[in-house]
Amino acid sequence: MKKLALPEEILMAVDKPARYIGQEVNSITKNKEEVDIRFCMCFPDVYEIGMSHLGIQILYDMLNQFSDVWCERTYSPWVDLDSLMREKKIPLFALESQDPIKEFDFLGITIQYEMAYTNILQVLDLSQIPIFSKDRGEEDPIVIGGGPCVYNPEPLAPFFDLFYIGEGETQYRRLLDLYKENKAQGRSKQDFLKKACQIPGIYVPSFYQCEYKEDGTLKAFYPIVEEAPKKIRKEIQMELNETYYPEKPLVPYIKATQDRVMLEIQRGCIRNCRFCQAGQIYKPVRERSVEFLKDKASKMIANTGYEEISLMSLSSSDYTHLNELVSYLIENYHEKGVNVSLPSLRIDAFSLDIMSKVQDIRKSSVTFAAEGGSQKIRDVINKGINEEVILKGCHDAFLGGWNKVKLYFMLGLPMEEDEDCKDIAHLSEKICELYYELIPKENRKGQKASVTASASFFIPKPFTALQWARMYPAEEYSRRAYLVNDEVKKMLNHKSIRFQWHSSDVSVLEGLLARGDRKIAEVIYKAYKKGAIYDAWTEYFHNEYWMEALEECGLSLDFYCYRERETDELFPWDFIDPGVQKSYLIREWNRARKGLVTPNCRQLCTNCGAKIFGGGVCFESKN
Amino acid sequence: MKVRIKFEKYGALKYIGHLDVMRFFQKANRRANLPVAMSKGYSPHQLLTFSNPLGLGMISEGEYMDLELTKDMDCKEIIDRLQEVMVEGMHILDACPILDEKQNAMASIRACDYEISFEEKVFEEETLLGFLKQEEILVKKKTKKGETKVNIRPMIYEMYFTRGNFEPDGSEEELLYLKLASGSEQNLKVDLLLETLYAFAGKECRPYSYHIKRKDCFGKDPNTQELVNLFELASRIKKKEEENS
Repeated sequence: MKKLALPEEILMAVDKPARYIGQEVNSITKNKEEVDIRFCMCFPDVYEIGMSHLGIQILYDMLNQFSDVWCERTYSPWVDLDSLMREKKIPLFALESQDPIKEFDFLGITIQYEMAYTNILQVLDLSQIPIFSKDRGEEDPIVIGGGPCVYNPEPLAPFFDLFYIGEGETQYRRLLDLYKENKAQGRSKQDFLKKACQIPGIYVPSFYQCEYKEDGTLKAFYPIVEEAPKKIRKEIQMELNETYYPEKPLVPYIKATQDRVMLEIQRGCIRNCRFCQAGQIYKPVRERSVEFLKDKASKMIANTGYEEISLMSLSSSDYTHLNELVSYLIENYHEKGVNVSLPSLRIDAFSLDIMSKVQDIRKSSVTFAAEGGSQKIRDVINKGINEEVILKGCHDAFLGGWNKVKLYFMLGLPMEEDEDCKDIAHLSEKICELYYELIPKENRKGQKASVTASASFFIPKPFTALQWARMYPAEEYSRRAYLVNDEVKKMLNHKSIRFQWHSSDVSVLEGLLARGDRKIAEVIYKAYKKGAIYDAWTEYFHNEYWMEALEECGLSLDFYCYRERETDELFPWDFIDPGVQKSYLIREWNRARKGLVTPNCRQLCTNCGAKIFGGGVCFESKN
Repeated sequence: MKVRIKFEKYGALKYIGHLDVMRFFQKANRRANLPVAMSKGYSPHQLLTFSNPLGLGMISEGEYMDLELTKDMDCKEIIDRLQEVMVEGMHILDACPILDEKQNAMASIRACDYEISFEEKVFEEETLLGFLKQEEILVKKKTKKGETKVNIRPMIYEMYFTRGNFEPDGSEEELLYLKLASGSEQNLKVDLLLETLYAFAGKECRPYSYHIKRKDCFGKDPNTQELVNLFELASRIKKKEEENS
């Protein structure tokens, strides 16, 4: 029988012990004596969230295809187990072998959102690996960071031995070979890092130094060893049809957030929304072929037994062969009870037709990411959607039998005035009026229109056109949210409108971590030491830990969040080259403030810089 | 066609709760490509039922799942295909057709038997005999109105020491065998019985000092009223129908 790292009295005492036992369908067990490299992949949040992440499934599958590597997984222990492990000094373990992670060669941590930063420290701490890279010895695993947040790795720099910037498919084999070679030659970890930093996409933070100006901004950022390059270009997998993609994804016992087959149909987005980081860092758009997707879909459904398949991408409607793919899936799987779900779909006649085939209209809703309440704001952020399109989509949806509409907005965007906020209420009202106009009472089946408008607060992210924009103190965000809320109450159909908004404290902190520099690492460490973990979970978020930590470090939100930055300011993340050039982003920042719309990548190339990767949408034939 | 599948659950999978076992089998049935009948409607689900839930932390060598199939299949093939898609800790033992299609694993249950492995020896043979000699064993049970006293003695069908392997790959040890009333009519939980036994013997019942394995589930033969395991029950009911016709 397999040994478990945790004894029965602990597993029976914690919530959902299935989080910690491994042995899931399609998980991979190898003989540890027969592999050269033991790699532990970590998602620093609770199991159900981490198991829903496609990126880890791809890398887990890829690394385990290497016969000399055994890749295992770990996740953040939930708070109940966290305290028991600390009390009993049980080291964090990998699920497959249940062995302590500190015995591994590599610990790879995917960094998907800023509010998981303290969970990274939790994982290191529970693993009994020194939190700061400088304190680690030859025996400690090499700690690698990856994922979208490493496009500004600086706030996390002291905690990681190296960062892998970009898509994981391309350089892991090279990195692992280097590691084996270095080990065989009996060389040190430092020797390995000096070689690793020459691999494209690899950033070793300890080889770089920052200097600051008196006003706190960055003066200079440069390598201090000759092996380290000045600029680091992101890694990108250009050929998405001939690369790793799991045919046997892991299937957890307990219900994960994404309890379905995830089929990534394309990477990147043509839309150029100015607030969106994913849209810039995953450029250019690369599609997977329909043949590839059909093949993978049927294998994944057969190998998992899932009842649902979800098409993953930043904007599914822009996938060229969507019609063919969806028709194929519905034809072949709908009868067998496998549902097709299409998140991030633009609402039009085509998508409504698909939705009516795969969903229960009475229960489902149509969703618009309008982002801005007024056209002025939608133009500022280059959200290529206008009121006419939204109302036309609602019109078709109402006639098709829907009565529920979800709208997503951001508050606190550049150029936003009170009237723009109130327009969220006005747009919601127009949609309600449309429903009552369009659907005669006798056809409503007793159903009212139902509009749910949700607002989050705008957070400027690195490598976006709005990376220079300022944020506002939490009280100002709350004021704007209440402004909308009060306006909603004035509407004729206010009973059909629900308005909700996110916590403003968390948004400000997310902004701090997103655009922070190396000095912020100390703040993260102090906040963690005060007890901050699971910051992404409202019930465990303690703003006061962070405020105290900032004050103790002598740092302020005024500097990091509340000031508009100058276009000549050197940013902590400027040493990373995502293809997209700063000059393009400055052009877009200027156009944003003039409310000028920029066409999408299929309409017109605006020379953002992503062409350098030599493929994708940049080279699609344009007539 | 309705089939009954008998399976065992052991090792780390004792930490997987009943609802997750159900979800596991819904997916396993698909992986095995079994023609399981689906309910109608927008969110169709597989037509399957399970014997009564096994408590979290217990292992079992006698769990049951009833499946409704849209076409007839050879039971050997069902076993092979399902076993092919199992994980360590889940093992398909057998499959047979259910002759009376109205029968269902959950509703049929009248008794279950168990083996208990103790971390250290606590009870002597005499203690057990003394315990069973009592005409009435009254225990407090919480109800909606408050507490009542229930006599659990008639719900204990068998209770004695035996020897055997607790886990499939374990070594031989002394085990306490129990056969207790189970199901909707009368139900005696193992923990409640053991608590009462510890109290009777004047011993302290510390947490995790014993481990429970369910051995099998039983229903009543409609002809003879004797307890037979659910696997046999699947075929026995047919006899009565034959006699009637």
